[in-house]
Amino acid sequence: MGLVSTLGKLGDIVMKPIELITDWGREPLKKRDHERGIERERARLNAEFQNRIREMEAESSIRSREKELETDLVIKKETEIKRIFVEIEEFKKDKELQRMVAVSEAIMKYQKELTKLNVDAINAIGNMQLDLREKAQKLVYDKTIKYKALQDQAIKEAAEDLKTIDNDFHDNDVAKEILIRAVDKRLANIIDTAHNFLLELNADIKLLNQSINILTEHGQTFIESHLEKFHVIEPPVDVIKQIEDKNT
Amino acid sequence: MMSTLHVLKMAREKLLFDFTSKNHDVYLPMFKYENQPVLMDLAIESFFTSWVNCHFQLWDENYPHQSGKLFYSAIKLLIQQIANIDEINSSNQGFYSNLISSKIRLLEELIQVGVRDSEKYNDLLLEYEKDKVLFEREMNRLKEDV
Repeated sequence: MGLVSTLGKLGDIVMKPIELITDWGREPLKKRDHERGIERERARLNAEFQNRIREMEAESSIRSREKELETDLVIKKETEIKRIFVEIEEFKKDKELQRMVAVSEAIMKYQKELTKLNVDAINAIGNMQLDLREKAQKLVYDKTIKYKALQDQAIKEAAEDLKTIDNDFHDNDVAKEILIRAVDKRLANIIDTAHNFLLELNADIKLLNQSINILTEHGQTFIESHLEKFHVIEPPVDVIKQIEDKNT
Repeated sequence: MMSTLHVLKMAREKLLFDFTSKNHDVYLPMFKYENQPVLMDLAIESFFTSWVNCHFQLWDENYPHQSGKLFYSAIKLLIQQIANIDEINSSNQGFYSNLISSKIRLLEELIQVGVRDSEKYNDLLLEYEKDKVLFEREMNRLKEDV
């Protein structure tokens, strides 16, 4: 061990100056080599720096673009939402208007039907009143003829009775007067009573005609009840104006 | 269609039943107004009008929820015999049925006016005949006195 160590130390003493001289000789090479290394390192760092700058620029450009796109998107989104809202409102208005037009048409149709119904009802009532009045008149006429016939018969019989009295009692004035008065009374009774009965009949028919007139009131009630229904579904004035504006 | 035929059949059955069962409303006027053709005509019209109007009641009782388009077309032909009605349907049926009922009531009132007057006429006739008989008696009495 000691010998080897000693030989090693001797080798070092010999070799060290040689190594020193060799190192000295290699020093310029090393220096150049070192300088090349530094250059290389600088170039690498420079390249890396350039790359980094480009990366940053690219990133910045991308972020800027992204922001732009985001902004555009937000604007587009808002614009689209507004447009959709406007369209919905328009759609709603159109629908409302269509509904009102439909309601208006239905009202006009109902009005026409109501008018026809009213005209029909008035005609039916008018014809019924005429028919009933005609029947009442026919009854009065029939009764009048009967009473007139009775009165004519009474006059004729009274005349015959007067002739008989004149023939049979020409020499008895008292009896003649009594009988003539009786004939007069009988004739007056039949004529006056028949006349009064005809007046009563006419009064009854007058009352009946008033009842016949009430038929018109029934018709009016019927029409008014239909009109009330019509007023219930009548749209407000502004809606009617909208429809009118649309039509014009 | 079956519902319309059913109601028409029921109404015809009612008409026949009124005759076969000797209904008071059918037979009484036939005798009561035998010598009064005007009142007889009014009574017949009143009965027929009531019969036509009963179709509506039968329809309402049996088919209250049907539109009855065919029924109203059929009934219109009958209605036109008693009233001048152009169009009848479920919406105006109530009104026309009431109107026809009013007509029946007025016809009955008119008949009653006629009946009252006939009674008065008969009273007057009786009074006249009585006066004539009393006159004859008086004349005969005076002749005998002479």
